[in-house]
Amino acid sequence: MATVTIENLRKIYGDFVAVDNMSLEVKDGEFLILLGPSGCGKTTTLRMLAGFVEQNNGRLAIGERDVTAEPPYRRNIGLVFQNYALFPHLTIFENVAFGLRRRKLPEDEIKLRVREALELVRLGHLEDRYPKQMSGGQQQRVAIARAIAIRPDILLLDEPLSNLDAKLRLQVRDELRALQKKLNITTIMVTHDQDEAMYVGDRLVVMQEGKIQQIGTPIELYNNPANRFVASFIGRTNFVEGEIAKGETSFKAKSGTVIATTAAARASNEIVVRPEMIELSAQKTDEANCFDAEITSSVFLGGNIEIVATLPMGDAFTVITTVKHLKDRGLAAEIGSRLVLSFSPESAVLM
Amino acid sequence: MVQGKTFAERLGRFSVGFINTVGLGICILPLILILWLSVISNSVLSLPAEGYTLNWFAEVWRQPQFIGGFYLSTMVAVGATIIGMIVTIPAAIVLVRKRFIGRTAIMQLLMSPLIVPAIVIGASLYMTLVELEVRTGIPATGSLTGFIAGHVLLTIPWCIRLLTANLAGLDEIVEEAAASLGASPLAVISKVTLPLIRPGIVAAAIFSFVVSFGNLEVSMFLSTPGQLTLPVAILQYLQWKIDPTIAAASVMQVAIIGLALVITNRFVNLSKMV
Repeated sequence: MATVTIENLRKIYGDFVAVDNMSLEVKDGEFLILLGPSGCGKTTTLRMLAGFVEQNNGRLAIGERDVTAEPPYRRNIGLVFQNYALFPHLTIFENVAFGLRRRKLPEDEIKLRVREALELVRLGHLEDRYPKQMSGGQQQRVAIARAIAIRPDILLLDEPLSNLDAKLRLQVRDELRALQKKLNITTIMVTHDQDEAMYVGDRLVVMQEGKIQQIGTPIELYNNPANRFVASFIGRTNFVEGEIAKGETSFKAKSGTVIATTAAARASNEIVVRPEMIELSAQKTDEANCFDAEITSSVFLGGNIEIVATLPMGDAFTVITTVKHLKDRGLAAEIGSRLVLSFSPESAVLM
Repeated sequence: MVQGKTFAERLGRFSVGFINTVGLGICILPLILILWLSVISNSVLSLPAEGYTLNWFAEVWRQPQFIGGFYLSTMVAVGATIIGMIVTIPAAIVLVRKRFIGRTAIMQLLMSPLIVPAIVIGASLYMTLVELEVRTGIPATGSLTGFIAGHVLLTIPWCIRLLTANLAGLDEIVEEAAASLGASPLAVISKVTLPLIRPGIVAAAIFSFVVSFGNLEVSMFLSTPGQLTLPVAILQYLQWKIDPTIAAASVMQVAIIGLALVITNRFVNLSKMV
């Protein structure tokens, strides 16, 4: 258990800046997510923490221990890879025991710790098997057991769920979160999947082009995205271009539509409205923002239904709702049918 | 065989079958011929057979140069294989895992014994060893050390090829996993890399043994009277006599190499590697 300190971390490949002066503090016992599209520097950051990539600049510390110059095998970090990376020539028992044998622990202790780790991932009964005799989900659980058996100071997870099929991904995701909370081990996970990130992460670090765009809890990022990139990366978003001056409470969209907002802290030319914040009804409401609209697209997604509603001035808003919700309000989801959109001034967030 | 629907499909199937049969035939025919010639009773290697006998196999054992040749060939092949592996395994690991200036040049250099005709290698080795002998007074030609040194040269390209191919197929991430679990670079190699490229190591060892055991060109230059490898002994015998003893000796050589392959196949699946 330990905190992690990243100071001015920088990595350059040729003239490509992979990680650009990144600084970050990870709290003790925290589940932190590095989130971003491919090439944003999240994996490079993780590999520098693990010691496989040498940074051009910066300092790394685990707790009070400066590990900047330490080789991977002396960092005491548990690593879980996307493709499991189990040792195919060793049994499950020996896979988990690998790190313990390197630490020259007595045989009794090794047995105890391997059993304990395998029990945690509910695979105690399969210790004599070889990795190729197991399913992907089981292999990834072995990999997790192998990483925690060495009682690492921190746990690093590199897209650990990406190779699993959709159903298994949810199951292993739940287990991973429960395990992390149970062991209370500081964990940093890399992913490009925002659902996954929001589900397991205490805090999310959104990265793009080697830079941190925003750090915050899932709720903070969702409600107050720092910029357009974060807004578009976390959840679905309606962007409206236009202008608002500092101190004003109405945003003039390019189309001419006027949208009520909270008092603007600064001048801005874009707002975002989350699809989930938009209320649908048949009649006009008392809400400050209330517009007649016509459905121009409607996609049935099973539980949800995604509607694109277009205002008279031409602004298109995506709204996510349920079939039941529409029925209760006497609305139809067919293209061409009319309805009323309303949302509060707080839901129109300035960029 | 499933009948093809169209003429083109049937022609395709027939062509594949035909080429396979002819190819295999060309490979196997000499073996069958040698086996046949080793048991005919004619006193000169010729056909048709006048009768059949196993005497030629006994004759091989009565020829001291064959016994000595067989012993020397085995010693040289085993020595060259072991030393070849000791030299090439670390080289292959560095060549595959590290990026450095001159890497391709070194790779090409190590492969060069395959490009230079063996007879040229033999001649130049001979001159080098003679020079060495003259300067130091230590006998080099005809010595076991000289033979092994020359043959290691022949095994290097095969080992490098097989080992680098095997290493390139090994996901580096498994080695990283080992390092993250606390394995030092040496422990990563001994506990993960080497066990995982075992098929490549076995294949390289077999190739080394076979290449060395059957080599004639280099051995010819390194041989001194009384110090002959089996292929050289066979060649010398042929200069005086052409009788089925040669065929019998060849059959024995083939049998030994074949046996080695069968035994190794019990430990690693050869068809998967080469």
